[in-house]
Amino acid sequence: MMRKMWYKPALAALALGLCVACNEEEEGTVVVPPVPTTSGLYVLNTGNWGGNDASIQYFDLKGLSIGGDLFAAANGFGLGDLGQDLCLYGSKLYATVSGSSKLEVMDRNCKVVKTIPVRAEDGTTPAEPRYMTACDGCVYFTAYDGTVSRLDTATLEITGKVAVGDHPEALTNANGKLYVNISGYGSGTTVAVVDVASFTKTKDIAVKLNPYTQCFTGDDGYVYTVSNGNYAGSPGMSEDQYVYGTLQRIDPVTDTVEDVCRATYAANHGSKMYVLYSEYYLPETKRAFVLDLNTGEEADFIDLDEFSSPNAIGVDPSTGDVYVADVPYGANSTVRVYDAEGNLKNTFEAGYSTSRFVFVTE
Amino acid sequence: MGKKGTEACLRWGFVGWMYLACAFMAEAQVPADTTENGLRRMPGVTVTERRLPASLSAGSPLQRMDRAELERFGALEVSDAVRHFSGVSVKDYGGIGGMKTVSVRSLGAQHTAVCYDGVAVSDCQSGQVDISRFSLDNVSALSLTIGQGDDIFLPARMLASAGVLAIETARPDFGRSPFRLSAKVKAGSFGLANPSLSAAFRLGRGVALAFDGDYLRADGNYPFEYVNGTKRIEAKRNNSDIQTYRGEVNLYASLRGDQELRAKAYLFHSGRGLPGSVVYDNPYAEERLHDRNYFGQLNYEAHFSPRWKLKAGGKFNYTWNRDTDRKAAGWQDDRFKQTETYLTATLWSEPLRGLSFSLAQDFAYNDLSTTLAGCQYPERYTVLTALSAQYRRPAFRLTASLLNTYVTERVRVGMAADDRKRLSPSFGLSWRPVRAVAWRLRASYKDIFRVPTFNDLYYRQIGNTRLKSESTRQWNVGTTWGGRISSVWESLDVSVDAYYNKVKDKIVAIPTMFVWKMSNVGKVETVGVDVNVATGIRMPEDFRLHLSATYNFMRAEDVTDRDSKLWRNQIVYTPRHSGSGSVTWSTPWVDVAYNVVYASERYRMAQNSADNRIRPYADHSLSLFRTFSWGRHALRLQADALNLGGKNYEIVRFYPMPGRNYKFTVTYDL
Repeated sequence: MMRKMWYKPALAALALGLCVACNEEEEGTVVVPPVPTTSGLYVLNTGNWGGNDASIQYFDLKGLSIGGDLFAAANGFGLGDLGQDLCLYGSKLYATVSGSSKLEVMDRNCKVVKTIPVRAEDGTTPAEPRYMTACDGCVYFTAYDGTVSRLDTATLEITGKVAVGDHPEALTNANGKLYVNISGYGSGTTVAVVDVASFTKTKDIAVKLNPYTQCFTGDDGYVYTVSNGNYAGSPGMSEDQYVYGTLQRIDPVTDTVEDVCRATYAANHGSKMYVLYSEYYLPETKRAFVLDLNTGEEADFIDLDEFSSPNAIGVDPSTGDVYVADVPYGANSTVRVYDAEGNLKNTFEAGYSTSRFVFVTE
Repeated sequence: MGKKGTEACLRWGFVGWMYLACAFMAEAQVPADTTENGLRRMPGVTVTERRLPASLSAGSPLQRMDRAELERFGALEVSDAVRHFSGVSVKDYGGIGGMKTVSVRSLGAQHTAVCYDGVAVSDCQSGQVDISRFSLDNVSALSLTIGQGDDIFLPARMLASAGVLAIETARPDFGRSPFRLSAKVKAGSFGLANPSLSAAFRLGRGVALAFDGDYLRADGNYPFEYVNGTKRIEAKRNNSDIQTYRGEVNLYASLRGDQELRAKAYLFHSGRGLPGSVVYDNPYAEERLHDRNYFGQLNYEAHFSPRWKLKAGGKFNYTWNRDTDRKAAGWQDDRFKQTETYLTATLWSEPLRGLSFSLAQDFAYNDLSTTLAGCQYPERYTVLTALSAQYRRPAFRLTASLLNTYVTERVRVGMAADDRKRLSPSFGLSWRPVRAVAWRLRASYKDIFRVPTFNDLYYRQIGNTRLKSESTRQWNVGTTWGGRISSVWESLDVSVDAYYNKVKDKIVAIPTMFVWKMSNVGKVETVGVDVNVATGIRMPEDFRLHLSATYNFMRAEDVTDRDSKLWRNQIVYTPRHSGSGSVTWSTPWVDVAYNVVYASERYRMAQNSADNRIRPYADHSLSLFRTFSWGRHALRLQADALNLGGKNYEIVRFYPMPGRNYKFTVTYDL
């Protein structure tokens, strides 16, 4: 009797959740809402640490509406703890779920195709997968066992693993190479380079302190990475010790690094780099701007004072609209959508700790 | 909500209180007057004047459970008993090794001082005290004071918190025997074994030495059931084992000239696994925590004359923790060491009959060192001075205190937080309007704060040395009534309190674009009502029935920012309705105690969305016990069935509580 009572309300709640997610569907049946393959974006909500509340939503650009948790609707259960990254490649979606230490492979409706537990060498210690990049029929992901793993997207088998450095985070691919931020849990100063063809690490490139969540390939073919620095302005720190959050550019042919501008988050569209920047201890540095990569000119973009804590930025490659997620303390995220000039177009509420926008471009 | 709203709240609270008070008077007074009119007129007989518990005459809410009540209740752990106090929530991470902290009236554990034999137990690192580390075996009384207490002959530190949970251990009562011996074995589900031994010796006139020791082990690997959507999770807690050793030596000496000396040495060692929260698809848990805690304390009290008293004491505390974990990124091994040196002296005098004063001076030194990267090795010097006054008349009692706090800090690396200075006033009033009736009205106010903890200030990256203290203001109005209805209905004690709390500069970790930082962002407004009823009924033969119940209403809302999503949301882990009930039926053969604790829904996160909701729970337990005595020997047998409903309810989200479980206890006293 007790047992029944325990899960009945949960089922009811789930059914209710489904109805919200897909309002025209029949009550109580698990029906996957159709996902348009054009004009829309997936929104990944990391959720709270230990909260088992990671979720994926879909924002429909035609109806300008955000759906409920697509993953829960498609599978009947939640994505898990800490959805770290989301990657759309070919016909499938890939999600690294860090707390649950797994990689979910899904169809475009978020229906699970395969769940791959991610473990360290010993086979038991959770390796906490982090970020992904995809190329040449494979998805590559970093994990806290200090490795990058290669998933063959045809067979959905892990076909290789290479050690890259302590606490690897965001990574990207360019010119047949993977570029991996080695955060060192705050003390890292390198970007590891892995040759895709041989799947071996070839070198470490020196960058500024603490390269972390931002590492992507720009439309110009360069690799962009943000080092978060050493919390410049901390009490007791002298100015010559400051390492500011910095966007750096790596030439994938020569692997030379140059500083671009100060940054915390960045997103690229054509020749424009949208940058959000703030140093906690130097509040006057807080600003959002657009950098013209050709001319080097910076123009003010939006007013960051309207945000509690910006947590992610993304640019729709087809429209050029800029999506910025605001993560307030203790509450659901708010996503603000701006046009390329910084005019507010739209606002919608997402889940907890929105961290990634994945645009559907076909 | 502004001034107008605040006034409305207060008015509402006052009206509610008056209504309850009147309603109660009407109900309780009528039968008393009619049935016992004759008796009351008899000279020298005051039937309604049962010796009342201090909780009914106090100027602010005071709840107390002495040894007899704890036994009657069948309580086995300190937390079991504290959960039945009104206005209290115990945050429990589940199981025997799970941390348990006490929060009073939604203010948070860091606003509750835990005091062990007259000296506060402190943790400068986290600011909260895990009450699961105290054994109930040698406890003689537990009491909880909210706001300004009535006793002004106290160390200054006892005035420096919004609430005080006092744990008092028993001073051996020898009778005619030169020694006392007590042996106890507790065993229960999930591998619990807990033998304990205490022995006390009379060394001479007024000198006694007592030893207490216990060992506890448990596997704690209880099964639980969870549901992730349509997926059912049936698993056991893993890495939940615990082993603890506890030892205590107490020396009591009554010296000439009405002086008392008490020395205590305390040792606590434990090693435990931390099962962590239930993480979907990842049951891995390897984190282990080792604790070592030693302290020695000395208390001295002298009554020079009926008009002059002095109390002085000192304590040295050493706490060491080691936290290890095996992670994919490598082996983690962090160590933490903190010490406290504490000195206190309180002088009390009553220059005029009924008018007394006290001056308390405390000094504390705390330091913390850790092996974490960027440890700043903070040291804190705290100077507390309290001046209190009390005026007592038969009809009323007025107590007022003024506490001065001065805190200064030093660090070896980086910058220390600024000095803190603050004056904190408080007062309490208890009034008995009708002389012949044990009916009292009370009102109290307290303005107090908590200094940010070392974690708040200095923890790697998240710490913030610019933090202000988190301040609380508490208003309370209440009424109490205690009496005897008839020779059968032996006692009826009732108290109803309405309160209003305001918390400012609440310290929380907030995301700031890239770093999480401790910040003073929150304002919280709490309106609540606590109702306590306790009654005893004597039945023919040796049957006796004790009933007690509490009901708490608590509307604790975030009032930081009107435009935020959190505006007027109930703060985290705070039930709007909660309560407890207890029935003990004593018979010549066996005593049966039934206890229940209830809490309505709570929220895990600041936003009260459905995803964050934690279900209401009711935890029922049943105890059977009997004491056999022959000569000077006494043997008590007790059997307990806990969480009868068997549900893995949650107090903290994703930390399931153990389902139905059993304990057996055998106690032998000589």
